[in-house]
Amino acid sequence: MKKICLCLVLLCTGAGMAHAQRNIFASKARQKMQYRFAAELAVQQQINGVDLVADEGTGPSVLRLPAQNNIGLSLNLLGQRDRRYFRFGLGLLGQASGFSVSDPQSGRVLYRADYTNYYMTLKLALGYTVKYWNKGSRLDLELGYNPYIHLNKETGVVLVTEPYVVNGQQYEGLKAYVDYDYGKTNADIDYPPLTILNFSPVYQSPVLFGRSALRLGLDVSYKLGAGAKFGTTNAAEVAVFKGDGDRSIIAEQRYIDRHFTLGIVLGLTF
Amino acid sequence: MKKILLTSFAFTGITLLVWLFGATSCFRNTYNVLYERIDSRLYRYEEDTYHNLIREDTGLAAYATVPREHLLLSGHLFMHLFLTQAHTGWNNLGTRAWAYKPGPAVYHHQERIKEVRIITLHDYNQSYPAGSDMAPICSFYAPDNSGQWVDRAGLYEKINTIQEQRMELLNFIDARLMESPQNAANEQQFVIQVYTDKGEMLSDTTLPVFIQ
Repeated sequence: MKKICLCLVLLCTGAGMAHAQRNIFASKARQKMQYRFAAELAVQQQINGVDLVADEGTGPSVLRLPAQNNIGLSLNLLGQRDRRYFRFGLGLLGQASGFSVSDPQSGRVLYRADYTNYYMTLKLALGYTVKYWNKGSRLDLELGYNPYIHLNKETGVVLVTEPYVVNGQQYEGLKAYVDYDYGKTNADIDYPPLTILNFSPVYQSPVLFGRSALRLGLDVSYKLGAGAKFGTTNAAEVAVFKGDGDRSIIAEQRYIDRHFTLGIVLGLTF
Repeated sequence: MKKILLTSFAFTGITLLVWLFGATSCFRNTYNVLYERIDSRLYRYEEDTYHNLIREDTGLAAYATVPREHLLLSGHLFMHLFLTQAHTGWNNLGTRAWAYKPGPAVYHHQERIKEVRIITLHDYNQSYPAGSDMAPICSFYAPDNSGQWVDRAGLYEKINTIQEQRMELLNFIDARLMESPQNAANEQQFVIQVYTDKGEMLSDTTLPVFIQ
């Protein structure tokens, strides 16, 4: 454990890298950079509750954000020298995003949105092999910085109405206001770059056939750069009205997506 | 000394550049607008030489007496404003330079007013018994503050312009009666109704008054 912590600290600083190079492997001859490709599949579970980061409204909670799954595919180039390696890759990520708005008085669902974000990610990472086993299997720790672009986006306003009757005349009364953004909808805002910061401990098996080995890892990801600005990433503002002709707001809530995910990565080197 | 001078020139140049970018950019808040309610009141009003309405601060008390020529039927529209986007200019510096040149707000009217009715609760005259819509004999003060009095068709035109241009809010619907009541001794009371394109009606009833 102590060794892992030390390695992490060393990984995170350039000085640490230099220190590691000088002291830990001083006795070993420097190896040439070795390159491998790796195809990876990641399945991530969104952690519920983290999404609702900007509860600026009043009244009871009306937004529900079900924890769903992300799926990612990537093709990577891994370059390794000694125990250090870098990753450069391109990936596709599908993120199931949706929310529902309910009436705080009756609990009825007034509006439900389903959407899947698709991103293209540039995968940049630095890794360190903390442990080798006899048969060639190993344990890597990796810290990644993945800028991404939105492949799809959508924005809109939905007014949810419910009928009510006054003096025998039927009207459509306003019940909820839903303003949603999926993806980067405001082209004017181009900073800070939206990125996914991830940390992955990865186990790599011994060579199974040819040069190929299996990689199995855990993935902890957090979306960076999704500030409290509209139009940078998934967001919604909702207001629920009293209804039956009374447009007083009884609940107002907002969320901005800063997905925190836990996942499993399965890869094959070649 | 040379280095200090060069450095200070560089900073001055960068500051000037940022200022220029800021001056040419525009920071705009965008709001989605929904009507909340209408508050109907009767006012005693005068009109100045520039056709500005000068109304008393408070509405007429119940059973007050007012000459028809100075009676203003006013519907005050209250709104929900939802900030939806902070628009910036054509580059990043615009967001930082907003303090130098904030642009006017943009209002997206999420619902349109499609009809205005002024219903009398008492018999006004032979043509307009209780329950009838008085709008045909009303003249409306243009909500764009142009100082014009227009008929109902003209009012709709002005309202549409405001809603399409997105630069202003529709705060008031003001009207005056062009005909006198048949009997000045009878109290008069009105309901101002606003119908939206979403199928809802906002309405409020004025206090009763006597119109001379």
